[in-house]
Amino acid sequence: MNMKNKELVKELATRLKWTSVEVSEMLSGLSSLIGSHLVESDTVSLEDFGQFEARKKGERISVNPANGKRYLVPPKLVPVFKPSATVKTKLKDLGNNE
Amino acid sequence: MSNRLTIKEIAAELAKSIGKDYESVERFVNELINVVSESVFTDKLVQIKGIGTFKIIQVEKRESIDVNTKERIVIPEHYKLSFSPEKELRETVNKPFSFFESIEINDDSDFASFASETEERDKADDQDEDVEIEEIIYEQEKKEEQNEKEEQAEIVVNEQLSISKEKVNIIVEKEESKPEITDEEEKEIGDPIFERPLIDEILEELNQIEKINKKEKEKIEEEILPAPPLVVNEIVTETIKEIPPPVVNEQEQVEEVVEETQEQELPIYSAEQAHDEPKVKIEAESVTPKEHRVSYEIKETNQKNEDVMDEYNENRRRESYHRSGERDSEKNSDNNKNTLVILLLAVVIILIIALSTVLYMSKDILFKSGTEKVITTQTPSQNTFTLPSGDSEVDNLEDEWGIEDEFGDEGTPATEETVKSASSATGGSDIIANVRIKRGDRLNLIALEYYGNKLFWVYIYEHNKSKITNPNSIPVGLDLVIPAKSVYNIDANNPASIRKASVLQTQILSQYRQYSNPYNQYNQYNQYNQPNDPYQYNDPYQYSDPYNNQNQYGQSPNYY
Repeated sequence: MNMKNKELVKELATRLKWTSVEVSEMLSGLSSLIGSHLVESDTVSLEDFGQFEARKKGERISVNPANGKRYLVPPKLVPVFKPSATVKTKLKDLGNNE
Repeated sequence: MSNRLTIKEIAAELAKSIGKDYESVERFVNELINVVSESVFTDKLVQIKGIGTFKIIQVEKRESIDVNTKERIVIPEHYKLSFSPEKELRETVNKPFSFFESIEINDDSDFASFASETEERDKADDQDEDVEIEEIIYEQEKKEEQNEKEEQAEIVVNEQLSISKEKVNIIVEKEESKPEITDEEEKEIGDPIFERPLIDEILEELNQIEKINKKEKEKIEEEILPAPPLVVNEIVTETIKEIPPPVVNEQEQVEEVVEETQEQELPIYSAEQAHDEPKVKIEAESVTPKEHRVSYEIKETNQKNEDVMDEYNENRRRESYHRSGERDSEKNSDNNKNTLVILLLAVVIILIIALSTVLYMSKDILFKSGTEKVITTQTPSQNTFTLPSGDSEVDNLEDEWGIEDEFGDEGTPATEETVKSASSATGGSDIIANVRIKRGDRLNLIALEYYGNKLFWVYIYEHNKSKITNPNSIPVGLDLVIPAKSVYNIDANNPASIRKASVLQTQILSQYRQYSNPYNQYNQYNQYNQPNDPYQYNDPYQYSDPYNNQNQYGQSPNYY
């Protein structure tokens, strides 16, 4: 049921009539490209799907429940994905249809 | 920076990097989006290697309050598209912050509110920097004074005096948060004019603090400093307290200052030994410029005649009498002898400090054009970063802070290159690469690069033990040999190997804490009056700021 990378590559290969090697090369190229742009705080927007951007999460204090010790967790940059409007409406429809 | 890239731009770049024609790349990207957005609805989960997983998840209905009308509303059950980035992508994106580590927070620290804690840390950090900036300023002053005659120096003091009144008012207002000091100050302001130079110094210090506090407020460092935050002010209070109210003439005043210097010196140095805190060292240094200035006056007075000495002794007697009343301890009889010895000792120490600071200064000038250099101290206080071994999970989280780079050439922070050469070039088969330490490098980051886990920095350290005196501060430009994984059975995927490294780390750090605190050594040198203290030339107290060159978000270094 779930679409893992293998299935994704296969599907893309059949649609594009490429070999799966080509597709996976392209995918890895794309992912590293996205990564490098996010590092530079660019947003990568894929129309009709959504956009990737880097968000800064502030530092926080977390407690290890096992020993009760408190840790200051450093701030970090995380990649986030914001779904586009079309995806959102689709989600809404999905909710309404059921 | 902060560009918004569209599919077309992405496709163009991708075409360039992969070497395919633009059309097919664009088709690929579009098709990818189609496939993902279609199948995420049919399959509920799509995983893209290197990017992450898209998932449609169901959100239960819940109650909420309308922000505008303040009415209770029910948010109906709905779906949302969640994206969880793959580890690879997460790490790439977090690279600018990757040198941060989790820190254990001391149990006894007060966390009434998290914000205030952050503030406190800011303060502590600020103070750190302040002290050093002051130091530089004093050194400059000192240099001037050395070039001129003492008379002229006095004129300078007088000049400062004229400004002091205004400053006093401002500062008293500003320092409301530190009532003790303010009180002291106000008391002092009313005192005879001869105390003004000292007050002036204090005022200048405070002024500096105020100025720099504003400037540096944004600058926040990751570590928590367990040491008391108001270091400088403590010194200031001390200084003030030790001036006895009655001042007869200027020479007396000078003598008082000398005494006070001695009084200050000893406790501070011992404190330094007690803690392993670099900070304390800096405190001491911040005091030295003052001493130094004083020493000038001392020399003068000594040369003048013996009357001065008598006067001094009288003074001393008076004061010690005063003190013994307080403490019920000290010996009165052999004071004259004692103080003479102490005085001589102090003069010798002061001269050494003067000599070294001058050399230190000249080194500074050699290395950079501007003399006003702002130095940040990285105080990797070991206590906070190490954990008891055995708790391997937490150890992973918690490995230590790695290296701080030292004295870096600020002119070329980004362009410096890490020199890596193939193992064949270096000869040994058990060597992966040679790395030249550059600004901002850390052992744990190097380990992460070569071994896949920060904890394995211990092996780099082990392998280069002969070169690394202190794993927490490695000089820029040092060449390190990176051993092959097989030499130490390094395997980032093997928990046992990681655990071993973590145990080793705890050992190394505890060792390091015991024997190689550079500040302690410095201290020893000072006490044995060795004039050629190597630590003063290598100045381990100068840390360049790794935050500045490492992250792109550094336009405003405010991470919080």
